[in-house]
Amino acid sequence: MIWLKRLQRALLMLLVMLPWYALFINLILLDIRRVNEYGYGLLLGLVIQLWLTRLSWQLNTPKKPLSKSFVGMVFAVIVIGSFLVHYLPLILL
Amino acid sequence: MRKLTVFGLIWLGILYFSVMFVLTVRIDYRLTAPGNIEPIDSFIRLDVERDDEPRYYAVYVMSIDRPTIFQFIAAQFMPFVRVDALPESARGITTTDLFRSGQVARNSAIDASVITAMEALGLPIVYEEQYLVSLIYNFASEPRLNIGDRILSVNGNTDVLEGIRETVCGTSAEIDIMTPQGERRTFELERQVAQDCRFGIVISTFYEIQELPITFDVRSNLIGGPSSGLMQTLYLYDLLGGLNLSQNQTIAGTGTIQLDGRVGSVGGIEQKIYTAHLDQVDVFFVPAGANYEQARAAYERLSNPTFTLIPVATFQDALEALHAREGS
Repeated sequence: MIWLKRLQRALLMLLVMLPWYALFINLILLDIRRVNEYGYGLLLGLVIQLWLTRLSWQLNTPKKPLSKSFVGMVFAVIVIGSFLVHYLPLILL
Repeated sequence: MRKLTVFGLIWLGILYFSVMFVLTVRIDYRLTAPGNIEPIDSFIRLDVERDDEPRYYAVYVMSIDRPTIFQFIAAQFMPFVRVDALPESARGITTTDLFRSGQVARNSAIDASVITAMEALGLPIVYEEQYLVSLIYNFASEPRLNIGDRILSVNGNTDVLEGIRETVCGTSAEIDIMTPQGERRTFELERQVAQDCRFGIVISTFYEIQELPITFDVRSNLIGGPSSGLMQTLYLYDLLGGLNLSQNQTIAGTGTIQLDGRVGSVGGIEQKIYTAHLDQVDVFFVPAGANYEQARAAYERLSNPTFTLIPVATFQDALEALHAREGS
């Protein structure tokens, strides 16, 4: 179960960082000439997200019942999924 | 303490969703923002070896249909970003369809450039005129049609344009198509009274090159549209003719090309002028007429522009301008 809880926290951190990614994707599309600078911004977001994820794994052990973890995960998947559906066509182009 | 935490969490949630709302919800506007210059040889490669490869550049702009609220607000503070209401015809068209449509136009323009350059040099080339579906509006009565389908006949008439003209408003035409995979299909498509007698599709001319004494390779990229036609033709003409008209200068420009050498008008002129300025090109060709007037106005707004703005009505005009620079 520890891996399920870790996955939940990883998703939560992705959810936390989602506005950051959305901001830089917005900026890239609007100001393509600075794609490198904004690309570094995205990369920095990824580093922060991984660091936060690692930190959340090291800190206090999860106390929530598993059912609540599932609800949180489903919520995170819905929000992240909506974001991807919204932006993937733009990114893939 | 617990109450405060719950309260804080609620506010955090409201803040989070507000930020995401502004960054993701799209509104019915069109933004045109400055882009970049793209060397023609980065996407058209010929089997011609030359030490002094000519330096011709296409200029592209970013066209964002239905920007997010954030992009809309940010655009108000950025130089040379144009904000327009989204045209009625563009509503309901997906980003993917717009991209495909741009690619059809781009590929057609490349073939038109090859033909024009070859014919201007007196080199042999055999090609066939075709008609492709380049855009489908959401009101079109046949959802199985796809962008890129080739129209073979309309009501049995192989003169596609005549077949379309002869279809009476309020009736359906039998359209015979061939998919890019080579599959033949027949559809009924209505000329709709409620939509100003339109079929709901846009048809573009495409020239299929059948015999060519050289081989060339077109690399895919994300840039769509026909506006680099003139620059592609100049590049091909210079390269195949071994002329070095560019004289190691950065020659950029915009404009579509037609087989008779005429240069057609394009959109996003102001943004292209600004892009050319930022990239410090030496020459910028622009279609004569209204496009040139817009370009001139944008040029005058620039601080210390270093490039020469040249209006051209035909491909020959552009060649003469380059010869004149060569002479001077």
